[in-house]
Amino acid sequence: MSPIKRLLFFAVVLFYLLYTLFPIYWLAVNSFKPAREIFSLNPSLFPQNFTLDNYVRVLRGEGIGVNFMLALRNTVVVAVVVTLLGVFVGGIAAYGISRSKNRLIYGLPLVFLLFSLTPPQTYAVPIFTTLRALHLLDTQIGLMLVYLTFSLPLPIWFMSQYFKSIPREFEESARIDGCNRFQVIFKIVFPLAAPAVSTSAIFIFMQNWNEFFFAMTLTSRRAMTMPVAIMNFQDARAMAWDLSTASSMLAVIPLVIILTVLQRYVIQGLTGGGLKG
Amino acid sequence: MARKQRLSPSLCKTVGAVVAIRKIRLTDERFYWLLVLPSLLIFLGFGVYPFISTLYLSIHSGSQFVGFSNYRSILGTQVVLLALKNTVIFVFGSVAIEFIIGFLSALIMSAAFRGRTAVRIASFLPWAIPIVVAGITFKFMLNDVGGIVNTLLLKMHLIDFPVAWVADKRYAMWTLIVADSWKSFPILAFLLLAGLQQLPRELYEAARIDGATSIKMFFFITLPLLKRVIFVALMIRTMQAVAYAFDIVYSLTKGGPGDLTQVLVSLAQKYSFQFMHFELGAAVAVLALLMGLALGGTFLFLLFRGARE
Repeated sequence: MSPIKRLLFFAVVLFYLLYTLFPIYWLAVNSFKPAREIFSLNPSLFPQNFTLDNYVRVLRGEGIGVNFMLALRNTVVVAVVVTLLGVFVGGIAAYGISRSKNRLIYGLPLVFLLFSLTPPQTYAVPIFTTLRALHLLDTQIGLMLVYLTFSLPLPIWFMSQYFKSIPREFEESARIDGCNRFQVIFKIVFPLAAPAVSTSAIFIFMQNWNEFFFAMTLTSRRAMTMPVAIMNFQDARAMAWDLSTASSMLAVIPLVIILTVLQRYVIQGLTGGGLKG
Repeated sequence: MARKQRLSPSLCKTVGAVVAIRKIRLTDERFYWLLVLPSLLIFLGFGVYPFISTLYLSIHSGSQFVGFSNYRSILGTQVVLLALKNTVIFVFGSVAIEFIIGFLSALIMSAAFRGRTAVRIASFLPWAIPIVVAGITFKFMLNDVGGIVNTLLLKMHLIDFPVAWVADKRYAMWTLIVADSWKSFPILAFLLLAGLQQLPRELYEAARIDGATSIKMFFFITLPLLKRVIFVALMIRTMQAVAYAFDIVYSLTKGGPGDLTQVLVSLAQKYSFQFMHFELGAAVAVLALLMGLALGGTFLFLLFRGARE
């Protein structure tokens, strides 16, 4: 590249980064500013009076009586449990799909994928009434059941594609060596497909860490998750940006750290989602 | 021996069934079905059953079968027609912007330069944060009292007074589109990146030797070869934009001002869970589903027609 072209390229990249990162940066910076500085007519790119006070007040649930600590704990528990269950249930299904010669089974991932592209509102009312009848409204279990359902399509699609690329000879020789069918899956196939399994786990975790609509519809207090709590801060006091920014950051920080550390799998999942067709 | 004869017939049947089950050999295909079974059961319970139940609700009033009268009633309602129109504007607006930024992003990410991994991480961050956080962040930036966008525009003398972007009926839909395209462009960007990485390098080298400019190569090599990927990616994003619009609408505008930014899915939620009118809510939700299928189907049709040519 000529120097001029090079300069142009980096200018474009710079603008692009400004576009993608500025909103997140602005959210982060303001969460460390005291309220009066947030409303300053000369906003600064760095906090002039750095403070963690907003975070303390959010975690105390100040002003609106939202138990943010409880919401944080609910989010962690639900997201982690659904991730483990999703990888297990989706993983064995994906294995079955990748090895079966049955046409019905073969078409399942596409059905699941289509399902994941339909509005959640199409399912919400019966799910709500069912959970109400089972006394599972506002419980972690109820939310987990629903989340598990909506977590399966992507990993099933992704893992079954990957499993197909693993030669059956490995499994056959393991069987001859005395492994039973389940040992073959968990000791041979899953380890060989570690990248696909990790990617699926990250995607399920992220999806359920962030999920809002079902959490809002199916929980009210005890099982409330962070996105709902954040929205409650915003709804209760629309101009309390100190609380809104800090509560938002509490949901964003752990996830961004995890995804940045595991970026290889995230990018692999986003680019290799089996959509090469 | 005598005891055995006195066993009741039903017990005999049960014992017989157990023996029969033990005799069934676990063939490979049966084992695969067994592995798929948990997913299938979950899907039947929380996917298929609710779906059929919603269809059922949408043609009933109370427990009375009413045919399509719920649909007639919602299609005669001003706000539903508005939501229908808004959904189209929202989806096409958002996906169009996403496509342009996503393509630019994919081209940047596919170039070889130092710091590429950092740019790729930055590219997926908008997609990774909760949608409600994205909504709240844009509301914060576009706020008329001390919002950064208004402050900057005032300083540059582009406006004389702060504009309430989110609450103003002229701009509310645009803020929604801007926020959603920022949140969702990474999906298109990475799908297109995956497509770009599949393209054969030799073609570009040959074109370069023949003296083609980068712009020419983009329009005559990249775009035609990526057609399939582009259609599939647009189909996915269109259906997602219809289906998952609720979070961004709820966190940014709540469908307001009035119902000017109400889309079908947010209206379905409003009918079902604010007015607690499940039947009408179900009908609106089915309308949203059909809309997503129709738009997605259009891309699929174009794709197949393109493939046959």
